[in-house]
Amino acid sequence: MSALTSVTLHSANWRALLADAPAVAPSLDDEQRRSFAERCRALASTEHRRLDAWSVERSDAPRDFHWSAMNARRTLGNAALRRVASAHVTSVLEAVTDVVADRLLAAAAGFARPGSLGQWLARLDDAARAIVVAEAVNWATTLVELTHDLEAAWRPAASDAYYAVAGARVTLRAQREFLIDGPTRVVVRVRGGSPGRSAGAGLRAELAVETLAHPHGDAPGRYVGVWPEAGLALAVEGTLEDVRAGARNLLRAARRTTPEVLSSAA
Amino acid sequence: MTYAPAMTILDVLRGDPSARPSTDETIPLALRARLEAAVDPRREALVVRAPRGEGGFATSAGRLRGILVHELVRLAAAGYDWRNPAADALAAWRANGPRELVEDLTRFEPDERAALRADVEAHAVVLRRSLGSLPPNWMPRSALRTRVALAGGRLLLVDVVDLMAGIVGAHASVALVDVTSTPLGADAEDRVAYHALVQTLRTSRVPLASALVSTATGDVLSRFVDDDLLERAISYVRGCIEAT
Repeated sequence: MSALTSVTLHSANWRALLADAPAVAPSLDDEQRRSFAERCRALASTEHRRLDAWSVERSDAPRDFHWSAMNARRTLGNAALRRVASAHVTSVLEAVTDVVADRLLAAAAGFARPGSLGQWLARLDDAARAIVVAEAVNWATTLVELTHDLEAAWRPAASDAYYAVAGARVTLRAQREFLIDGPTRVVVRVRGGSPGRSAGAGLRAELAVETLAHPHGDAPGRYVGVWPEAGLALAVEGTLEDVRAGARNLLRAARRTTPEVLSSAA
Repeated sequence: MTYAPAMTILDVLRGDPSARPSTDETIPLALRARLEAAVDPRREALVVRAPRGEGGFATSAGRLRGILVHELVRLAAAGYDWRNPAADALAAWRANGPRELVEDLTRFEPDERAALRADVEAHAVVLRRSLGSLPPNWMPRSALRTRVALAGGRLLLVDVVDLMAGIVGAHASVALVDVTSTPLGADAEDRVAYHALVQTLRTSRVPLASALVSTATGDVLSRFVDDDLLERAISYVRGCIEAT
């Protein structure tokens, strides 16, 4: 397993972290995918579960989800970054405003499902919605800042990486904000707050999901987590050992979050 | 102290371009090293924050006013043109903010509510005059939280900047604005300096300027970030370390 790389967001460090990723990364073969799926299926559960870096890093039970300005900022901010990257807008604020307008339009036209972001936004009054815009602008501007003076070509992620394990009722998710294509791809995801002690375990879990979700099982050269509030970036290399370590972390989280374990813990 | 009643805060921060200090990429590293050297490895972890200001909040109404004024800053950053500032700020805070003080508000007598509304509206007038319009291409961000850990986490510098304009790039182009609903006190310089230091450590880039605006009086304290200002912030943090 490779060591966790930690750098401050000094521009030279940051550029180097993205530019000098390993030129070669491994690929998962069918046998390795099958082996992982069997282990997931062995953790039989009556409920469908979604596992991600949060599940790996946090030991407590998942809480009920409610929309708020804080947890809407990433969805809206990432969509705004895609608009900024496609050069269809003149400012981040305009991009976020357009994204929110699209969601409201979808809600008004009946295309937003109950409980969706669009439905929630439509219920807010104008001032409350402006705070949602402010949070999303913060998020998107931070992404613009991170990509601002990169020498390497980058592209915003079209979505997070998802991998549904066949027959196991488990869906894995890896967050990603933007990618850099080179000899190997580098994946960057951004988080709020400061990295905790288990941040490395979370990153390796996301590395594993990103690799499993790739059509050919190709691992990225590097998976980078950025904590802008702390001015820090951590990275793991896309080695087979790190992918395996990430898969083990996910399996541990799956065991810990089965309804039976959660109910006995309560 | 720079008192600039006729200028917007952005005019003040824009200043005279020829007077802008040059940037030196080694400054953040040197500041980090100096602060880490000041931490005794045998002592417990210490959290340092910006000076709170002298006025403080003697009543929950004062604290509520401060919260609502900060909501107005956020609304301004999002390009929201408030027409009924007290109601808009309250709606924004109720929908998204922390639940603290909500119960206090529900216990207010009608007169207390009316007084709070009038107070917030007066602060909103000063805020609008001070901020002017925020051009979207200045990339305004609001309520930015920072937690910079130094010396292996034994020194944690925590900060919230109410408004930030510009993005961190090759040149010093970021302006930091702290908005307070109390009059500027003797520690205003330390507060402005502290924001500049924490931002420098977070981004490894020295920001262009740091300012403090009082919506109580309209006073603006604005500084270009130079060695003297950062030195002042280092002294403040060292003082906090020595005081524990």
